[in-house]
Amino acid sequence: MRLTEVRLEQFRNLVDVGLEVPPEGAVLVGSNGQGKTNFLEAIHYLSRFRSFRGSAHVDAVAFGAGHFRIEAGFTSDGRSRTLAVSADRERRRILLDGAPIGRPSEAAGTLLAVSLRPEDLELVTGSPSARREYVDELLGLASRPYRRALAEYDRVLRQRNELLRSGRGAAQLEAWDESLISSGVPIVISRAHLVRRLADRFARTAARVAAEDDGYAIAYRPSVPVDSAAAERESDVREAWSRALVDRYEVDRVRGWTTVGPHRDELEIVKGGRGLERFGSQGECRTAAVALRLMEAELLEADTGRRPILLLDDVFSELDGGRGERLLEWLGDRHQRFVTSPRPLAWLTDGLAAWRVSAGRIECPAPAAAG
Amino acid sequence: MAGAVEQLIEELSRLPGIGRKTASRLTFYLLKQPRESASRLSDAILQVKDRISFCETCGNIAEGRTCTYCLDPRRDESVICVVEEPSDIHVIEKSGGFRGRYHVLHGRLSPLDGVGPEALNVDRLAERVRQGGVEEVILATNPDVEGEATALYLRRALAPLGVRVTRIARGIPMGGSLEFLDEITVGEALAGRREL
Ligand SMILES: [Zn+2]
Repeated sequence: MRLTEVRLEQFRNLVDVGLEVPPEGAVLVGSNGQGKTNFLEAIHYLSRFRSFRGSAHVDAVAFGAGHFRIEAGFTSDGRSRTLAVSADRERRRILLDGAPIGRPSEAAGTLLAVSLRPEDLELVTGSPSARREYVDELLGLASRPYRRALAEYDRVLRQRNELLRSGRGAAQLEAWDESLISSGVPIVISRAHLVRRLADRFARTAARVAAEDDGYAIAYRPSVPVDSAAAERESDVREAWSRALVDRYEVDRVRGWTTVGPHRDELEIVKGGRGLERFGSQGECRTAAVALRLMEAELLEADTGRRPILLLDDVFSELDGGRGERLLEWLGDRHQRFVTSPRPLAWLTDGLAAWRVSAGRIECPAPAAAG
Repeated sequence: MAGAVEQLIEELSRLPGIGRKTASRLTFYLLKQPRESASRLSDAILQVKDRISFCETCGNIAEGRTCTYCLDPRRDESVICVVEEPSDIHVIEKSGGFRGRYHVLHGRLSPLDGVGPEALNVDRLAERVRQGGVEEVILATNPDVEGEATALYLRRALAPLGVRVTRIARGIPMGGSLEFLDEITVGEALAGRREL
């Protein structure tokens, strides 16, 4: 999958940008605050219809402009396609190959892109909810039933918590317990299955980035007390969970919320048996974060048969000891890639066009003649 | 805008599913109608309030103490279909797949809305089953989170009474409401009901 052209209007500080894009991608060079990351954000937005900055689309509207528009031409499965999103403070319109799309979910994943950003460090060092969101996004991108299960579970959980808090729930508690388990079991099973599928891939990818086999590993630690093998069997999860709900009833009642269930799951990331969330060095955590994102790209490719575009935001200046160079070398030219960098490092721009970004303008020098 | 017009818009927009825009469209439509048609509408509204109440047996709307379904001798007394609202009966009747009796809960369990079993028409249901002659209770609460929990609650509440309890099939898209489903879907869900 490769972008062929990009046109941006009023997207943050990118007021009017129109570019033809080389098949291998480009390096965006410029100081901070000039608009490099905004360009990556725009491509990410076309892929997921939400910002990697986690803000609502209205925030992306250039100051005072009232609307933005992102449009891209790309090739996918040998076909030329176009995708455009425009939004103002009230509504958002999506056009796929010129035809309007009703719901974003119908066009999500048409353009596949994966972002690697310095903020990804949070995936490893942040709270468990960041890692749950990562897993949920991987599962949810491919599966509408999974997204529905999450929404359903969330609703049951809020109902049960309210019941605990109000203290008037004894008569209906069992019904909500049963609902909680029924809606949560598919989530536990899907997560267990995904992490098992990804474990080897993660170890391999992290070892590549770190250039040594350091024993990086991920493991699913369900909140429901079952081991990760049993977490893929419905009857085992149901049984363990109903027992846990009974055991923990007093605790739940006193706290006024439910203390066991997939909303408390953990994706554990370790190196040589040490949990990186608490004991990882900066370099180790960065390696693990990059590996998680590369795994996301591999999984998307495996599930769709299409190769995602990579958006690498200032990743290489953060990876020390030659990790950045090795990573880039390993990526090769399999993916079209957009890389931001404050400086035009020679090893970065080798084989990639260097675009200068300054005050919301992007300048593409004419491609040098070959040889 | 004239006070009377504004007041009618205000009243109409309080109705479920009617926003201000629709309310003002209705108001201006009524303005253009002859006096008699407005009078028929306002009479009909008052009649509903004055003459209609809830059936003492099943909780459905009724003219008098008992509703037409509970009075109809041709309907099968051994099967009771439990629904959340009287409007759900209308949908099930249109499907043509059910000839038994009904029971209306007038709501569903929802702690977030402060609704517990005591607020629902549940005791009367247990009473009807206890009186005998009922072989099956079909739980046709909505296929959403609250409707499911309500069905699970009722199954537990009815279990000691030894009656067969079934749930309409989940072929219905989850998160839906019976009210918005077509009669074919509802008919299939009824036919595909399973032991709960
Ligand atoms: Zn009745």
